[in-house]
Amino acid sequence: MTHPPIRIVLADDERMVRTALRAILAAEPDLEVAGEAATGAEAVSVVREVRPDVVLMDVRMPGIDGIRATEQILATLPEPPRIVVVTTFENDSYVYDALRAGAAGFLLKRADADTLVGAVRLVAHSDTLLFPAAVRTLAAEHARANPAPPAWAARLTEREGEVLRLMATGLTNAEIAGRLGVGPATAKTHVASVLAKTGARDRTQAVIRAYEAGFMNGR
Amino acid sequence: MTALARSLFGRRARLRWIHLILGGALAMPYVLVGSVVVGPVAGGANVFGSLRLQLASFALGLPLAAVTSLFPPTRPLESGVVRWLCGVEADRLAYGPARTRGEKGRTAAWFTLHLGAGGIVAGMSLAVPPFAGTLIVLPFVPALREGRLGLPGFLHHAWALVLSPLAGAAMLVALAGCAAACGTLLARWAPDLLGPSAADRVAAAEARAADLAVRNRLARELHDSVGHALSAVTLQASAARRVLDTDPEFVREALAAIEDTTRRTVGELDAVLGVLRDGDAPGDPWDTAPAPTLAADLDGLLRRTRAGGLRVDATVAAVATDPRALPPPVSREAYRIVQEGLSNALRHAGGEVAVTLRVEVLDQHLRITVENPVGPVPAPRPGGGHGLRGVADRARLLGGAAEAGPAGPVWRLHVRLPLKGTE
Repeated sequence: MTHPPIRIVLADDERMVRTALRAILAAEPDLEVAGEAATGAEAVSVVREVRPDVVLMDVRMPGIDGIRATEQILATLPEPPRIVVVTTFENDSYVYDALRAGAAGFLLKRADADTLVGAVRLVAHSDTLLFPAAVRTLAAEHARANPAPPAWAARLTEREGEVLRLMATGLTNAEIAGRLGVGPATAKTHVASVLAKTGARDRTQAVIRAYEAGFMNGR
Repeated sequence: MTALARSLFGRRARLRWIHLILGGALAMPYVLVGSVVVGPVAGGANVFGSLRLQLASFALGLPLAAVTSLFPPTRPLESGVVRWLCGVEADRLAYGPARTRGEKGRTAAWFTLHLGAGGIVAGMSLAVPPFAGTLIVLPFVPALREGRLGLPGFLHHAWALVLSPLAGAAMLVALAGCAAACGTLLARWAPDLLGPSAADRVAAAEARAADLAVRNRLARELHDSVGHALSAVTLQASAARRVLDTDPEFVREALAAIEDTTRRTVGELDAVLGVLRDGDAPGDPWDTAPAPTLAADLDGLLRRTRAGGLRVDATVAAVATDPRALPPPVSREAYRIVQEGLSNALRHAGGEVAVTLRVEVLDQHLRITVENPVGPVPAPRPGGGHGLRGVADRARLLGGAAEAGPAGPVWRLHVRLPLKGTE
């Protein structure tokens, strides 16, 4: 293992959920649970203090909920951690709101331990979309009908539009390069410029915005 | 042709005819009362020997019928009959007793109409068939012509004999036509006169909406609470399997948590499903669920909670466990509230502290207080999570109130349930 361990903060108001997540994650040599929080406000302060790589965040918490905690963490920390929303229900508008707020993806509480561990590693080490099919379903169901395409849609080149659609299917930079028949560096540049033009923090947010703009249905 | 025959003699027409004859039968007592007046006025003549006097008695009896039909039970009675005999859709009729003046007036109008039309059609149904039958067989039975039936003289002519069977048949058809027409008119007017008024409809819609809202809320609550509990249990089981060999202490705790959570959830499931099921019966949705009650099951609950590791310091007034003193809905909801309060304390205090439970009756209210010292982490939710929201909903349903929040060094849940006015 060349990487230093991935440091994780768990935020959930139910103790049962936290202890179980901790047991599962701490059993992995490359993962380390660096802190726990039972409320959104606590999550913000614990994250500030321990500077983790990944936060597993419950959406519904007393006081400041997971969505606002996500917003605050992403807005106030210079190099914020990747935030994964942990949820009971897949089709939950709160989860969608958390993704809009900049969470990197979401995990179901009923997911098995391997999926959970795999997801944490994935978001920590790469920028790929976590569970693209689930994010797409969520976005397709919750995206507000917004007939007016935003300004960025016009600024995307045709190639960048193509790249955005491929990102939504969960492809990595290398896979996008392969699909388009370009070099990996070129693909990476395209992705970066898509993120810049859509004003998105990461792929998840870019995909959400693409859905909100009706960009995914159009062609 | 067959359509005409069906409209005159089909099943629907026959049932409506029966409905009219029933009206005639109901009219009889009123006609008799009328004849008591008409007879002496007509100089002691036999009322039933004269069609004119019979009609007079009938006319006198109808207002009487209208007056007696102002009694509330008339509407359920007539609506039931109309539903089965007139082929009117069930939901276009009101089955409750007429309450308002308008409803009573419309019911009286209907009853009078039913008895009036029914009396006439029933009278015709008795008188016309024998006469028509005689006309039909007249050419073939010479004895009839010579009898003492008092038939009009022109019937002795040859042309009259040829036509009389046709006339007899035509009279029968006309009778059926008359009955069918009356039946159709009554069926058309029934919804206007016996149907729910605008106020009835609004009240019914409001009741339905309120019922639906309660059911939806319960269903949502169930979905949330069971979903959360099962997710937490899955996660605990998954973690326990993962660390089975390395951390037996965690596995032991996980199993206990799983046991506790599933037990509590099954209880919630049972209670909510009970309410949802009973919701089919209008009125009292609480009545038949074999739900645990404070009176019968509090001891068991305390025993189980203590066995689960929570120290409970309980002060329970004797009246609170007396099944005769507590209305069943209060007893049932109080049990759930105590259960939720204790499991909430367990969740937040983690079993290391003592919980104080007080159940008492003051000012016609059952008062439930659950207190536990505020644990280090996690802080209890102000205003409450699902469980406490459920407590507030239960209290509100019974006309009571619930408060939860920190009170000095303790977290306190306090619920008041009125003992009166919940039956």
